[in-house]
Amino acid sequence: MDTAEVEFLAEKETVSIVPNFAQDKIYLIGGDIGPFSPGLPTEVPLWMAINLKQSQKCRLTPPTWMVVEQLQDKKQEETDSKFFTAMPSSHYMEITQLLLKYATDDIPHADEIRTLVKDIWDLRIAKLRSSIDTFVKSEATHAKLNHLTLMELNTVRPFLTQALDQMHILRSNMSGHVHASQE
Amino acid sequence: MPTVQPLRYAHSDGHTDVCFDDSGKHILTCGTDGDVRVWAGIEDDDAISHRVGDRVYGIVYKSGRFFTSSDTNTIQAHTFPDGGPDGILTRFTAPVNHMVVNRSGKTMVACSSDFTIKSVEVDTCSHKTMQGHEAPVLSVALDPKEEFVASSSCDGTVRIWQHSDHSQVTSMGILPKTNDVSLSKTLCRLCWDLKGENLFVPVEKEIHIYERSSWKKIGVFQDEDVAGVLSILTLSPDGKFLAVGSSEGSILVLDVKTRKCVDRYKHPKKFSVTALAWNPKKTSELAFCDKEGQLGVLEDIKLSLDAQVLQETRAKETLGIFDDDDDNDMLIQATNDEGNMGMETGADNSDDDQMPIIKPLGDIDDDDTMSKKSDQDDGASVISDAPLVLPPAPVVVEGYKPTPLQNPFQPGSTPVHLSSRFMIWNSIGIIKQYNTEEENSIDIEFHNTSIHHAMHISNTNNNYTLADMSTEAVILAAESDDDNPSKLTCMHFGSWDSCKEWTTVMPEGEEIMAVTLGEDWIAVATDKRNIRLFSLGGIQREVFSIPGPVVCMSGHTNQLLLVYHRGMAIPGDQCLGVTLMYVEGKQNTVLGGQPLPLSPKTALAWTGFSAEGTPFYMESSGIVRMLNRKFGPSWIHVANTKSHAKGKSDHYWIVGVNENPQQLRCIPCKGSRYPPVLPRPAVSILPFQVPLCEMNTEKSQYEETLWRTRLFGQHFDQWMSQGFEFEPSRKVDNLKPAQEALMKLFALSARSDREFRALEVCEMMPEQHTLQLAIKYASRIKHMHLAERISELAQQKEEEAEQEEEEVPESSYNPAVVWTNRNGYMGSRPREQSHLVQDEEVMDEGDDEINMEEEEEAEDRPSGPMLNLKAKSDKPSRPQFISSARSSNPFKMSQESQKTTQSGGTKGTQVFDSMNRKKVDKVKAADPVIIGKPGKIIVKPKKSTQGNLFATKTKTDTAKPDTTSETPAPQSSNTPSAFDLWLEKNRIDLEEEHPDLAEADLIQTGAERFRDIPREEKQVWITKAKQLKTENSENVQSTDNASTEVPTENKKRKREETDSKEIKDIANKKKKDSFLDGKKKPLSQSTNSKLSGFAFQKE
Repeated sequence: MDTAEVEFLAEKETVSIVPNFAQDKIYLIGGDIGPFSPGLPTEVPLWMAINLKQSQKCRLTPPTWMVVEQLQDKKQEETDSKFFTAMPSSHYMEITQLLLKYATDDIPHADEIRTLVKDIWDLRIAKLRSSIDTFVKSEATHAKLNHLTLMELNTVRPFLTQALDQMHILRSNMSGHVHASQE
Repeated sequence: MPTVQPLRYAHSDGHTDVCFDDSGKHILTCGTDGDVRVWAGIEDDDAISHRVGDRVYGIVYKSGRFFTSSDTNTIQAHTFPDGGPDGILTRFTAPVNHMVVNRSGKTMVACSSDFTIKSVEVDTCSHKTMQGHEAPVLSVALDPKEEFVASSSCDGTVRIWQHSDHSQVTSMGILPKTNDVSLSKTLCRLCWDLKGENLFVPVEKEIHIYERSSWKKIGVFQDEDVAGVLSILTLSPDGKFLAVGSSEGSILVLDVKTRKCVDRYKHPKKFSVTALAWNPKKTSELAFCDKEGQLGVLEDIKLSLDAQVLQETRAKETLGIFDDDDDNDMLIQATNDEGNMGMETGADNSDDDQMPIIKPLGDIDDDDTMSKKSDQDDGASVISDAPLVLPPAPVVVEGYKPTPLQNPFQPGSTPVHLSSRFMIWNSIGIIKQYNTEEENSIDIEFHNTSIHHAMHISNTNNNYTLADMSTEAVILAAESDDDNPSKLTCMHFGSWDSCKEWTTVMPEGEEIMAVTLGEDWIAVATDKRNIRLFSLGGIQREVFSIPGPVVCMSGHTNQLLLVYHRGMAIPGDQCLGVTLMYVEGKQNTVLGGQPLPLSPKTALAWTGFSAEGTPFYMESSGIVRMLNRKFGPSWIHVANTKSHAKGKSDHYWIVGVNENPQQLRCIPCKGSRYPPVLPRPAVSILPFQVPLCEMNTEKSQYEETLWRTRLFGQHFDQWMSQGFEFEPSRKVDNLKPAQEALMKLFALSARSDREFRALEVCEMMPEQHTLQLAIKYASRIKHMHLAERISELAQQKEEEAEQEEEEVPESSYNPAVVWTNRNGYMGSRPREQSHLVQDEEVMDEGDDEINMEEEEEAEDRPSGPMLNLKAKSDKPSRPQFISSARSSNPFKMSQESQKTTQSGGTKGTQVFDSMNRKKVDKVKAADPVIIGKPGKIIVKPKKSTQGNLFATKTKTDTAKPDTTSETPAPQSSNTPSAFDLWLEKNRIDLEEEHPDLAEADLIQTGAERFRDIPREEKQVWITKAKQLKTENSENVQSTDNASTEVPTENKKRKREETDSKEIKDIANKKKKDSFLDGKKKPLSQSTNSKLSGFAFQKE
């Protein structure tokens, strides 16, 4: 799974937009969207929001958690906690990325938000790395991490699994060798 | 309360004394700084100071001279006003504490800390000493008749001396003992009354009154409110009042006669009062000094007998009832009480020190606007107050204080003083105004960009402040400034020509206060109370006047809503009038200046129309009301935005209203009333709620839904009356929740044994078929009486409807309208059959919880078709439903259930049986399909189970449709023939042999095969079939079902015999989807094929 796929999944999350056109409900496989009435906030999937935004058919309303104060609190919480904390959205990184890319003008304090989200991300990735480190070093067979988002998992998954495989082979070779020699 | 100028610094800290000169124009003070100051009134900023000594203890003025006692232990005379020394009167061996001069000024009596009292002849300076006190003497008082001298001392005694021979007459140990004047809390300034009849002595918190010559205590004055110990007594020059000072700053003025307190004052800092002096010429003025050396003057002391008399008489006049003289005391008492009360409050707000001035009632009459009404009000208040509060004080009329009038505003705009503001935010778009130093512009943007693109115009020259917009035009209006009159600009972007803008200037001196836009007109309200109507193209159409200053205006299509000040209202409230008129069209005025209901002490915050054209308004308290055209017209509270606000200072700023769907579009404003322009606020949607009682109960919730839905469905009738066209289905859809709520309400009432209430609900039901459902429901839950009542009601309604039908000429007859008028309900009568089902479901839904326990029972009961209702026929059927609803059960599964049907089969119960739970029905309904013979399933008409159900339901007299629908087998025989039996047996083999054959072909092949089989074998099958046939005929006799049902029964039997195991399996499932589940079970292949066949057919 690459990041593009994760982003694709994240695009299913809904955001609120204020359309500037009128349109009846749109019936899609994934569910009905709309109706759109100008000036009234409507929930639509992210992909549609971005599409509409790009064609200047709407204004985006940032998600409730995309506020500087709240993110600062979150960051603080993340810093203080030894473990991972629950994120306001399971696709926080992707949503922030997409919204800030396409709808910067609709998000107040976009720069600050970008920095804060990046900070939180860095904090979490660092935590993830260190926990992987202890996991590998302690040669445990399994470990459990809560509140990891898909994107975060995706950053370590390809390498970690392969590396563990490799280590396993090495270990089993080693132990097999020892075993053989003993025989 | 007396008025008091702010206290003045007179001397440095310490004992300070004060007196007036004879003219009362000057105040003389002395203090510990050794100076005597002469003040020309309290406001004199330039007091003359005379140096007298290091400390001055006392000062007395008498006829052009003043006497001081200083630290030199002497009494010095000075000339006034230049203050030059005029000889020493006498000397003591210790400081003189107090001295008094007799009226003539010939004799002075002084007392000193050396325990002595001296009586000095001023002219000769000869003196006599009175000795006997055993401690410093605090004060002396000379009897006006100059027969006695009273003195008080730190030894705790008050002694009376014979003035003539200086012998002690009596001694009373009534005071606390101290060692020195400075340690004594009280200065114990004694006082004789004017005639010398009584001696007043301040003792602790009381004033003892002693009778002359007998020296017996004849009275005590006490006041609980006095702080500290009473210390100073001074008689007013006319002898009617006694001023009392205390050690904690209280000053009372007593009426000597009545011994009541008439006025009082509290020192703001509660400093001990060291001296009091009446102004000899003005009895309402009292000077005092405190121990911090400050000088104060109480003015306007409420003591003049005139004032009191005045009050008394006034009180009598007003009260009328208090005619007896006895009551005078009460009145005085009351007056005093009132004084006390005033004192308490006076400490808090010194501004209110002045007694409220009593205005004659007549004054009010001058005011035309208030006229009679206020007069009556005032009178009423006095009368109502009088019995409760005895004091005549309520006579004091505060006068009518009109509520400040609300300024005109543009609904949906934020205040003009903001540097960036919304000129308007409505359902069309937003107009923002920036009014800063660097920028003065207007931004116009449309919610729907397909109407028009956004515009940005400069506002530097015009200073527009008012705006409105519609899908056709934007109007802007400016107030007049120095040289430009007030003007209106219309940007008619919807125009098809190239001139899109026009401007009109108001006549000189006329200011635009509000503007609004309708469909093709513009209304402008001016401060001259004119409403000017323009067309969109700029033609002036109408000018009319409104009776008061405009507050706001709103327009929608051809409706104009005007709100203006109508007159004076109850204090705190406003009296707004509202006019709703059609600018075009026949009916001109809907509301002609009726008062607009506002909650207490609120202002109007918003007015407007819903998208559907119903007027709404919001008041500053957040309550939204809408016009109920059906009831009155009246205004009804439909939402309280404040109840949704999170914080106390949060508000909602309304931007639009929709009735269908019900939406109140608001902008939440955190901690303010108005939203900021940046960051761009987000609209949120609030629900409506009619404020019924007990909203937490199920009943109220249904009622609320009912009324709210009806209310918000009224616009359809309005549309109809205005000749708008709309799809009737919209109205029906819109009113569905009301219908549902009504059914649920009925179910709820019936279940809780509120039969009367249930019947009332039925009366509100507009349609026959719902009534019939109600009857069924009632009977199902065994409320027979109710069911009967409802059926009567239904009959009655039907008759009424018919009558009206006859009365109303056909051309103009509209059943929906008739129903509306009669029931206040706007349901339309013609309904599709599907609604029946829906309503039934609704009732069942409402039933769910309570029916849970019934469920088991219901399972056991025989399942009949749900409804035996006929589809709405062309002619409204007479309510013969009971008989017509005779239930027959084509799907009977077991003998047991059949029995219950029969046993309970009296009267109308069949109907009630049919009211089984939907769910159960569905299960049972599915069964017959499954048990159908495989050969027959093939050709079964394509119908969903649901469809089947209704097909049967509609023809309930017989179960025929069911059988026919199931059995038009190729052989067209209802009884299984020998071939059928054979086929069933050999079908599997056949299928295995010809897996590629279609069903029809398969049967064909089967038939051929059957023909080929040996005769004996055939015979076996034929006998079998015959056997079955006879069994069937028996069945026919045993059941009261129609004979056509036989084959079904028969099949069942057959099935029971052959596939009993499968039946069990399926019965265990008891689910609609049981065939699907069944597939997974290890069923025999034949069952499998049957099921798959069915599943296939179902598609």
